Amino acid sequence: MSPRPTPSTARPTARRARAGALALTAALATGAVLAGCSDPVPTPGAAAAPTTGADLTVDQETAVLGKIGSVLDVADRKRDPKALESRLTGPALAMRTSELTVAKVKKSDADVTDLPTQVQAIVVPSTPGWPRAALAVSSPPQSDEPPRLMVMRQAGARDDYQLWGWVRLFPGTTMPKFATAEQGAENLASDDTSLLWAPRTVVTRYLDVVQKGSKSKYADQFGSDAYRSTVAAAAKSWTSNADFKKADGSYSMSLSAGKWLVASRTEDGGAVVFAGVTQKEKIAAEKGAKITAPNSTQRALMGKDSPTNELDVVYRVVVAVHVPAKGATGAAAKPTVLGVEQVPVSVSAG
Amino acid sequence: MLVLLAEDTSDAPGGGKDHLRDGDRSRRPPDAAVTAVVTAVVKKVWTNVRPLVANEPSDPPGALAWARLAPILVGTPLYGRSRVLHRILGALLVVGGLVAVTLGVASATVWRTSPTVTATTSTVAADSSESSATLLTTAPGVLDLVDDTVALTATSPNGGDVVVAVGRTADVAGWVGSDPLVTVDGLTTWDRLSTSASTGAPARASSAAAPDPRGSDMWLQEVEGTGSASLRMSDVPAGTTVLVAGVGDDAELPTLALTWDRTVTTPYLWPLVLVGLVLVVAGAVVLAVGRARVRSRRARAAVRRPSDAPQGATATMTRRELREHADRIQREGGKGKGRRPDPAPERAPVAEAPAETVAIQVPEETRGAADAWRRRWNVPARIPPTGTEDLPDVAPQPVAAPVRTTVPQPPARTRASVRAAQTTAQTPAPQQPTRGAGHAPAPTVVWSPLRPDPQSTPNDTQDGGRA
Repeated sequence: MSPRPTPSTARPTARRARAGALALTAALATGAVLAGCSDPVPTPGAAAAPTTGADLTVDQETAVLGKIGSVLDVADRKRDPKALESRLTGPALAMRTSELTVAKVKKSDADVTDLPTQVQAIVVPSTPGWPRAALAVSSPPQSDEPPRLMVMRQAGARDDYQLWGWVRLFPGTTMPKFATAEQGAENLASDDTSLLWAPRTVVTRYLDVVQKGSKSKYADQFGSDAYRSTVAAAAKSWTSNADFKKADGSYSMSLSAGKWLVASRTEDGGAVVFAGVTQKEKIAAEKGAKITAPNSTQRALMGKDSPTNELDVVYRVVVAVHVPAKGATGAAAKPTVLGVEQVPVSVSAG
Repeated sequence: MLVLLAEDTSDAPGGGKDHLRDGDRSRRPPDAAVTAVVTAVVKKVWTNVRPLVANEPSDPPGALAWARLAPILVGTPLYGRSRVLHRILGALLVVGGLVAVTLGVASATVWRTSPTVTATTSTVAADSSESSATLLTTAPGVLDLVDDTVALTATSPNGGDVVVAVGRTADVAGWVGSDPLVTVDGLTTWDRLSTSASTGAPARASSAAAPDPRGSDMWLQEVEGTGSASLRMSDVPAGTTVLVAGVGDDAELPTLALTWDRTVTTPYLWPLVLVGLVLVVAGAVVLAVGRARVRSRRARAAVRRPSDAPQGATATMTRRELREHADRIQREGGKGKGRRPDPAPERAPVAEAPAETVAIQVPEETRGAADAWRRRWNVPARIPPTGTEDLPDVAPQPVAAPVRTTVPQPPARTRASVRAAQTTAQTPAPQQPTRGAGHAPAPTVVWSPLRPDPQSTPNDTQDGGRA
């Protein structure tokens, strides 16, 4: 009888080969499955609600002030108004140009207003559109000088922030509080109805008071301030001059507000309204009289013009008035003039 | 687990551990123990199932079938077939385990998705309005699409100047105004950003200078470069977006590449590795158990070498004494060579040849755990021969064909003959009082190790329990 073949000697190789092939196939299949599994691509969520809030961060505005400051420094050093054009506009440009011209003529910086760009308070705008205005309160330049309240304006999206105007705060004035830097101060339209008076109305009435003094209808709405006093004093200095009276001198003054206003919302619901004003003085005397500019600044501006019997002086003025919110009552229901800056920009003989 | 249970038969019916000492276990044939256990378990199950089965209650036929099958199922190497099954099973388990471990490691290393996602805009302008655009921006939510930190790279196709500016969404939109603009909307694939051109924008005259966002006060961050510009942004605040512009002469729309990091998990690593290790261990256990069985069988063969056993000295020993004797011999001798794939059938002791097996007479009154079930189930005890292929002095002789008929009693008393005389009722399993070889024609046939008698397979199974 032949030995029965044992399975252990018969086909172990084939069986193992089959087992190996099976294992390999299983491995490949699993690998393909694992490698083929891929995550789905994420999609962006719904667009977040349009964020309202500050248009600038404090750092951004500080950077803007720094750029303005460097432009001012360059122009001051060279006494060249041309260097101002990149970062100044509106009344500020006119005023500064005049100051630098005077400084060049007089070879003195006495008339150049000190505009420190080190600030102690920053108010960022929160306007979605353009133009936008940002405010800044500078540090006191010298111990006896009041701080400057500066207005920087961005006319359009592709424009830079430029210094539009500044005022010197009246001594003893309390600056109103603005919203925090995260929220920003809203820029109001000139006909905004949420204030006691619309911004345009406030400016008109204030100029009326300045012009007419106590005879104005709105004289009791505004307290007295330095600008009114200055204007009144200037008028009086001419009209009470004996020689001027003998020469049939006449003095007239007109005020006209510029087109663009800035109204920045304050925390109490009111606003601070800035307006650029052109003040024109016309001083005339009888024929043959010679009227000279009353001070060296105006004489420097007059330049080579020889005096005649007429003198036209143009000032650029920036006024800042705080208007309370509509519905304010009591003593707080009156607008307050915070500061004014007046700079002669042109003196010409009639 | 039956493989492991074979080593522990303390719960065999009848209780008692007198005959089951640790020293005996090495020589106790495992398959006998396995069968014992299996049969005991089946018996217990049967007694519980009996009321449900309308069968003869006293004879559970399934139990003996179980007893026959159990050794095969657990890989008891009765014949070569089972041993190969053992090895194949073990090999498959090991291979499967290694494959699982490899897959697990590969899933965490080679097949791991990249932790960096880089998506770029296409370099081909889709339409005319895009072709004249030099401005590109991102839609809200795109910059932090995959992660909070994103690395931006804008590249000019013609090497011109590129400006990347970060600003508020309203500021960017106001700055762009009505100029043609391309907006990045999201990801189409993990590699590609989807873009859309602004509609209704008048195509910019090619002679007009490209809008230049450099230096605007509105930008929160600004980077410029020649050829390319890069910017890294973290925790982009909501409402912030990016404006990319090609500036200068011959400005072209830059391509934008956004790169994020992402967390990739390897969830398959540890489960696959653990499963693989478990499989490898199981396969190793299966292989080792198979080899251990063979080794123990070889040891028993060494014990049974005729030169070692004093002739006749063991004829009247009890089984325990025989085991001890074999232990001693084993310790003094060596292991047998080769392997016995299966136990030899019970054979009668040859008068003149040294006895390869010893007929053990189990007195009826003997009380032992291993014997009680034998008496109950009429399973004869049997001590298999080991290593009988290295008995050079015994020439294998042809074995006659197995005979199923009852054979005249040989002169020597074998346990089988004793049992045959004693018992009358037999189980349906064919009962051969003698192994096929040797008893039918002549009493001098020696069991042939090379060819186990197939006829005695059932008999083996029946008798196959090791004591």
